[in-house]
Amino acid sequence: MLRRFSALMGKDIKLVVRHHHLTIVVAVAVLYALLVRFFIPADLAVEPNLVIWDRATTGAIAHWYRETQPGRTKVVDTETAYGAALQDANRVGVKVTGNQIPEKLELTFQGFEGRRLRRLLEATLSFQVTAMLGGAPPGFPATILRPGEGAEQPAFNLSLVPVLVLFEAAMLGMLLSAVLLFGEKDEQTLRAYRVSPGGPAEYLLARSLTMSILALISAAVLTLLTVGPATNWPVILAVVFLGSMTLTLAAMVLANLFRNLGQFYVTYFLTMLVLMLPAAVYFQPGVRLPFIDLLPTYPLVYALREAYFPTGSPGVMARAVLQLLATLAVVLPLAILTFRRQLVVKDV
Amino acid sequence: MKPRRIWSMIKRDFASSLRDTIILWVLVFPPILALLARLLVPAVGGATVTLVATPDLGEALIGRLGEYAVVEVVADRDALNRRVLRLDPAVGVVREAGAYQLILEGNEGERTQSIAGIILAGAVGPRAITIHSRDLGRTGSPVAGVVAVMFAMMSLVLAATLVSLNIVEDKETGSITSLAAAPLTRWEYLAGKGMLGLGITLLMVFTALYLMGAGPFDPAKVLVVTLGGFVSGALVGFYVGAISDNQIAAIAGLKVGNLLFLMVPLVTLVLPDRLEFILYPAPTYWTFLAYRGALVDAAGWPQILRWSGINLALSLMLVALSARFLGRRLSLRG
Repeated sequence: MLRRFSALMGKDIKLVVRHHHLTIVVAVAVLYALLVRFFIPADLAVEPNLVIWDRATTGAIAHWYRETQPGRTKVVDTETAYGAALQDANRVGVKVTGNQIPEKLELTFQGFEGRRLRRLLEATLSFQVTAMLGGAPPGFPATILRPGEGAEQPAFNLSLVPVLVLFEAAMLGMLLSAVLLFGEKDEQTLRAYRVSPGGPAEYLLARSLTMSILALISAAVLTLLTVGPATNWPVILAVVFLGSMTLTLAAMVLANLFRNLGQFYVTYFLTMLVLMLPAAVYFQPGVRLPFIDLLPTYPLVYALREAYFPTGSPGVMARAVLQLLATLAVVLPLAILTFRRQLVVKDV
Repeated sequence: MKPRRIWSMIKRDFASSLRDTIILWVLVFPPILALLARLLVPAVGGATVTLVATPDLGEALIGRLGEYAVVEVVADRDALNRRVLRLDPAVGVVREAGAYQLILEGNEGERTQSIAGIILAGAVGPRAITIHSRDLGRTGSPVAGVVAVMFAMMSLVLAATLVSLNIVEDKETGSITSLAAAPLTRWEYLAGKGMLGLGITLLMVFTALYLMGAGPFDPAKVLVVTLGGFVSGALVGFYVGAISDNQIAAIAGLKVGNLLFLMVPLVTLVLPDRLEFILYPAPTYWTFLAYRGALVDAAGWPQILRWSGINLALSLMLVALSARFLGRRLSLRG
């Protein structure tokens, strides 16, 4: 059985290397690393910029914002300039009126901002004005449930690494494994395999193991060239390996439902988009999407973040491993079932 | 080139796509894409932070907190702690001995903690200053706009992928050699493939944009941008089709081609303005600008035509440079 298994893996590796997939995987990882290192900025503000028109005589608010948040603030002194500055859709206007001290703020939103964002901005300004005017804004004690190292805030470009590893390494086998399957179907290799002593489990595990090796290579190159060698390698490699095995087998379940690659491709594309939704939550922590935590990529991206930028929560990684194993326990039998159906019932 | 022959090619490929139910999947794709966009865009646009509270915080305060953030109400303090310890950052709010307290896991970013504090201050305390709000009445959010632009560009990629896989299938099944016996030139063959790809692209772009509620936008401008953008998309499809003898090789080519196609707009989103000139030679940079102009910035016709014109000129330049190679590799004699 071991010999059959290694022969199957050897065949898949040969196919992958012969068609330059290994070269492309490495090249793409290098390309992503170059982007992260040299093109994507380390600091990227996602909040709207403020346009301040301070009509109070002291101009204290304009001065304070200019000093404390120069990158986010544009100070103007005429109505025309205020209106012109608000043509930029990523800006919110703050008109200040009063005498010696600011008395009233008029916020001008673009119109599409959500109710909660508006209220938050109002509260933030009120909080900041209180501090600026020398008052003490209300503060609240915090209880930390897991006191540890505290959050290490990575630069924006480096914070992309977990998402890129998820997308490029862990999800790499989804399409390639299906392509190999359809290729073998077209060339009647599967028909020959049906009469060989090999079973569906060996075929599927050999395929997903090959894809996981590619995923590990991709993750290693990307990691080395971005965050460097000093990182939590055991966790990164373990999570990528498990993630790749799981997602490859999930793709095989889907692929077995279609007749050819053309049909499968659109479904793959959509599946990939859905599996990437946790990236939205990763970048925007307030985003709530129903059932998102059931996706295997959800704990995966957080485990990768914890491995790259530790915050003292090793439970995150344990949870990812458990959820990936649980998903694997579901998709492996499903993949075997659909593959067997493909081999026997559909008579490939 | 004879239009009748091109039309025959289109009909043949259309029939083949119908038989393989690819057209059905192409029709299913935009609604699902739109659904994803509708799910994602309000969530991103309205995202502040997730707060967790227990009922003893009081309905009134929970309601006020809910004006600022998503508030999840859980049964008791243990449940609150468990919720805070889950993967995504959520901050608990409790009142103990008459004082409010934030409950944090400890690994939240500084921003999350600070926002939670500001929200609580806003909900429980008086304002330091009178604040009034008004708005300019704009309805198209930049986030929704950018999602719409990216979905339109993804539709170009998907159509290019289907074109290339179609060519590779012709090679694998030997149809491309059989077609050599028909009165059809290689350029008519490619034009037929391209026209079907264009039809699929237009169908996907417009259906996805309308269903996701993008806009308001001028369909004529989007049509012009899509026509320009499709040339570079189709070129990727033809290239991959030309260099690949089977689907395994095609996927390798598509990985690189699609990545280069989509990477440019993604990089444009984060690249500092002073470095954008690096992207000028890439046709997809201009496609992205033109789509953004049409879908987000309500750009006028002169701008749209300028961007689309540059895009088309660069794409045609690439077509001219590739013509010999493509002609050789896509010979109908296989």
